[in-house]
Amino acid sequence: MTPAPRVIRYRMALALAAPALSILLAIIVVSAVPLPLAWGVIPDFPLLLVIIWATLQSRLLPTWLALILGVVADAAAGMPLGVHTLVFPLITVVTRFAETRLILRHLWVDWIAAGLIIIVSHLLIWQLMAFLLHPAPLLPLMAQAGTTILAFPIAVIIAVRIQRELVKWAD
Amino acid sequence: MALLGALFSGVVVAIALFLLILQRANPDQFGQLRASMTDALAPLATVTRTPVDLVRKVGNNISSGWQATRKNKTLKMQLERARTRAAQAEELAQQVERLEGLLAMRKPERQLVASGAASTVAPSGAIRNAIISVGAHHGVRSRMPVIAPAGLAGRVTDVGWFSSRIMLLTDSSSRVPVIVQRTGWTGLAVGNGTSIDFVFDASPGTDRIRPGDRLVTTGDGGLFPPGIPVGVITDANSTPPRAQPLANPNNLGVVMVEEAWLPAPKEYLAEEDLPARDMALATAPPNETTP
Repeated sequence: MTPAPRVIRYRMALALAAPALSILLAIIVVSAVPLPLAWGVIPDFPLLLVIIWATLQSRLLPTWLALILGVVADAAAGMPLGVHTLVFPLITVVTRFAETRLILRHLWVDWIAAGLIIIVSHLLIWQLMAFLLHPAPLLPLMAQAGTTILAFPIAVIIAVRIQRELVKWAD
Repeated sequence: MALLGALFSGVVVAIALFLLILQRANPDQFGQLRASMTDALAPLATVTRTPVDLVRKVGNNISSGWQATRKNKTLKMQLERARTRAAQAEELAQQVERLEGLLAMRKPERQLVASGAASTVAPSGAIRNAIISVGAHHGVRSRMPVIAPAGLAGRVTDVGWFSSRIMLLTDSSSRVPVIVQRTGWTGLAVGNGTSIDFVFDASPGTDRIRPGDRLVTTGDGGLFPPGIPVGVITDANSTPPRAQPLANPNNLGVVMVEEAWLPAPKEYLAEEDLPARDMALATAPPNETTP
């Protein structure tokens, strides 16, 4: 039995919104779930997913959507507005720019590229926090960048699985 | 088409920059947005806190079990010594009370506003904050001091309807006027992301700060009541000396929100509305906090 056209349309919409929804879910989880770690070295999953979706499905994560998600991320973390609000759209711009130039596609290349973006993003967060009169120490931020880089393959697996479902649904 | 896309992206980044500058121009802006997000996240934070607390408790029990016998001996010795000191202290307290009575000194009273459960979250290494389960509905206002059973926890930053966010002592923006109980040195407890830096004023004598020295609030600045334990010095050799908060920021448990210890100076209070008072506290000159 084939599903009714309306159901198909809903599925299509959900499939198109999946990247943004997964980032939103990551924001909620990291900002509300207390983790028993003293250093705040939880991988920055929202940032990771922004990087991955901007590479995998850049059309489903336009710059304006990244801006909105950035505002939500800042508000949810209790940070001054403007940190992720600027970093997320910049990531989408940079990855799109890199995409058109990079021909090599390999996990290692992706990982290194993502690692660079993560480190630069965290340095940018560090600078933006200082600009917003809330100077943050560099060490915990760099520790977080480290764990975020290590978590990259996990996030890729999650994103690829979502994408596979997404393709199945959209068909 | 690609050019149009690039142009559009540029506009979006410009909007982000505009928001950034808006926030810089007025740091209190978007507080309501943050507060409503806190309200949205609070139920999840409360639900997930229980299993996490349980895991922590089990871990603590195991580690304390290991050290029980050794601790027992030292504690017994300490108790003996403490008993004699307590007797002396009681005598002194009575003396102070008598003298204060002679001076007819007026002391402000600490006022409990609300108490609720705190759950520390760490979405970014750049900030250290926690969500507490009481908000504007319970009388919580911005900047109120938050106190845990073991010591000072921090201060309220964003207030939602039934939840609020507090800045912890370890946050790099946290500044608390403190005094070293043993030596009487005064200074600021400054958060450094993982622990506390004790930035002290010019040292008055030849005495040195030792590990184990306790920092308590002075009451300077009028926000935190005096005498609340803040931290204990763990590394006296580093400059500035390092301290650990006495109320473990990762496991605050139940906390109390109190009224700011001293009411704001009269001249700031044009009308009897609370936002004006918050502004008055926010704009108080920074040299008021340092003795």
